Amino acid sequence: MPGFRAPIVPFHAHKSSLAIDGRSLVLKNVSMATAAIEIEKLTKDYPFGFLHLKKKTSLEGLSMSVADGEVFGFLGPNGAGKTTTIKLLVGLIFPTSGTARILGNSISDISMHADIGYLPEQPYFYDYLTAAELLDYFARIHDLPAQERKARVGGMLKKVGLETARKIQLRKYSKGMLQRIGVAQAILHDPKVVILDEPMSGLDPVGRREVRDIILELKQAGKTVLFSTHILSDAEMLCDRVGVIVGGKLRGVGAPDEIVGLKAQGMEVLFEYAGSTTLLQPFLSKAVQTGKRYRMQVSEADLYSTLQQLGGAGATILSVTQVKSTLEEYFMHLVEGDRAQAPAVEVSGK
Amino acid sequence: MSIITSRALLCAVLLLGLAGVWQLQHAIDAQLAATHQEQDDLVLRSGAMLKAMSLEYAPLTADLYWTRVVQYYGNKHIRQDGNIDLLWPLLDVTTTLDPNLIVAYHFGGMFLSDSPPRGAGHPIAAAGNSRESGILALL
Amino acid sequence: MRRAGIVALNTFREAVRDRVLYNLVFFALTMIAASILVGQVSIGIEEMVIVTLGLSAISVIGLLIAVFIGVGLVSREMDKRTLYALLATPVRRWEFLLGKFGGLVLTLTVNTAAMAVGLFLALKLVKQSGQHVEGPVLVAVYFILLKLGLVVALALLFSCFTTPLLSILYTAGLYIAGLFVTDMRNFQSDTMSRALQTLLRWLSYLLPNFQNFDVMAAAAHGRAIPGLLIAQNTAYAVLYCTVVFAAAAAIFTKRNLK
Repeated sequence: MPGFRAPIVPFHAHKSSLAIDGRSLVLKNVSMATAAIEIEKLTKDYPFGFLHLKKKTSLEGLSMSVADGEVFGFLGPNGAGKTTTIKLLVGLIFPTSGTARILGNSISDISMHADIGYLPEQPYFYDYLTAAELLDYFARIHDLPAQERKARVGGMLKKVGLETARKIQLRKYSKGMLQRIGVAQAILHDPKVVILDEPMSGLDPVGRREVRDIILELKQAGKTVLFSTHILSDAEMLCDRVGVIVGGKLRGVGAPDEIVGLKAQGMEVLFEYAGSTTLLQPFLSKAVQTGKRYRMQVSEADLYSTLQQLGGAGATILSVTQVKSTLEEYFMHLVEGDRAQAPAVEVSGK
Repeated sequence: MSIITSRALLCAVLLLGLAGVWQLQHAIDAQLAATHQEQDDLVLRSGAMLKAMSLEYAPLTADLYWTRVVQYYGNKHIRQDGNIDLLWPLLDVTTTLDPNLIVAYHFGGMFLSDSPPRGAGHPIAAAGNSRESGILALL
Repeated sequence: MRRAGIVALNTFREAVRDRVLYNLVFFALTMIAASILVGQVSIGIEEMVIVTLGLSAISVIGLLIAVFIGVGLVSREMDKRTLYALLATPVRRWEFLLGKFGGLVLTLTVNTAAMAVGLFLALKLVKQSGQHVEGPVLVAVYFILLKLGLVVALALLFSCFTTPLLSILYTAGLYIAGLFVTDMRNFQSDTMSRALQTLLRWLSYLLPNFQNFDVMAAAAHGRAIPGLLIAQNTAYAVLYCTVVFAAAAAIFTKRNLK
């Protein structure tokens, strides 16, 4: 597996981007020619209740686009509509209204599926098949020629690290292994657009690292990747842009650092002090103590005077770092705001 | 294919298909009738065995067999086929499965002893089968 | 179409790996026991018993497989979500259905053919008279296969929109109704209203008529079965299966997968 490389953000793709907060909804104007996925006012209602008279809206008026070659992350709490959107794109469910296009073809056009790869949430495959047989099955479905099939299947198995398990029936696979064979199945036919639904779910750190690496490789190869996750650190690390969906509505779209704002909120000082506490009392009371170490937040303006005082009292400064609002805080702010307004109803579509 | 064309195509397939099925059925019926002058068969004649096989559903099986008696006699009657040899075994099985099926005894009493074409001309019934005439006497 | 074939072969592979074909062992043992015992318990009708027993067993076992696997063809894949990744490929929904249907029919054909071989072997063992029952028996087996195909189509239809349990009830119900269709046509009674009579008559033609395929009596006595009937029954089965399949495809294509 190649080592982790920081994602390269192509700024030319965000020429008209604006920093967005949770309340305003400014759409990115990515030019049509380079959009791999375009979604326009996509809505999905689920009828329920007696005689199906009541409606649950699991997705409301989603409009966004994903540029060619971009890695786009769908973020949102459970039941927000991420899986619904992905299932709509892939043709497993049908929209109540609105349209979407992948690589210029409408989502109702099944021949478009030749250019997309899909990993379902919590994938499950025919458990009586072995890994090699499953990939061979999909290879045949995708109409790969016979000679190419064997090579491709072998290559994929190696890529996801399942080479040694190729002859084992899938019923004996662990969750992580199933996830990996799922990824293999999604990229087997070298699609231009790869759509992954919670690709890291249920994986241990090793598995997650491997999936992250695969996504980065796809990006390097120029593929467009759309994936949904609720692990924010993965999104921060991998995505060119993220879209935050809460309660069926898109709340914000933009590059991760754009969304949260670049402004630092202060500095964090980490220092060690073993002397008498009376000297540095004002600081120590504001600091969090772990043994001999103290962690304290100060504003930028007060930073140098603080450092001088600490040094003068004999404390050892260990580190000084910027404190930035993280995606997690932005996320929680949105979710809590939503929950305060409406009762939490998770829609799983079941 | 647009929604309207695919819907139209579906309706066409369903209607034409069912119409075809209807017509075919007529042809098949004619064919089967022609080949059906065969002897009807009652392979399982042992009432006791059938009763065992029916587990706790013997009365239900009796009802089914009674239906067969009626259909058998009716069909023979319509076709004016005087050969109703199977009437006695059918009735025998029916009454073994459910000895309380009075109507079977009535029917048997009426049609078994008569000579063809109305009845089976069955000697045993004419001679007064012990079980049957015994129950008829009770009635 | 080609993709339907791929799905069909995989469905067959699934049946094999689910050890469906082990029923053949049970059948073989039954036939062997029967051939050995029949000489002891009856005289003169050995062939008839073997044929009736064999054909009945083929029919019953075939029906069990057709119904119990048929009702799960689609609903199992939807429950287990194995279908999700597959439908994201260029496979069309009707191609998938056709593949599942074809795969189960293929399984049943292999199963029935194997049982027919067993039946013929048993016949060879007990053969008394010079009666040629092989021809009619072969036709009877073929008719059983046609009947099973129709049952699979019905099970597939129900599998597309309802639970396995209900599918079993509906399919079994239609099968049983289909056996009494001729009687339904002959129901004529002065106590019945015209409307009811017409309804019964229509039902008797529209419901699948499984009595068409019942030639066990003829086969048991070695009576030849007319070629025209073979052609007609084949056409009937094909036509009815097409109607049922079209309905199933229409339902499944519009279905939102949870």
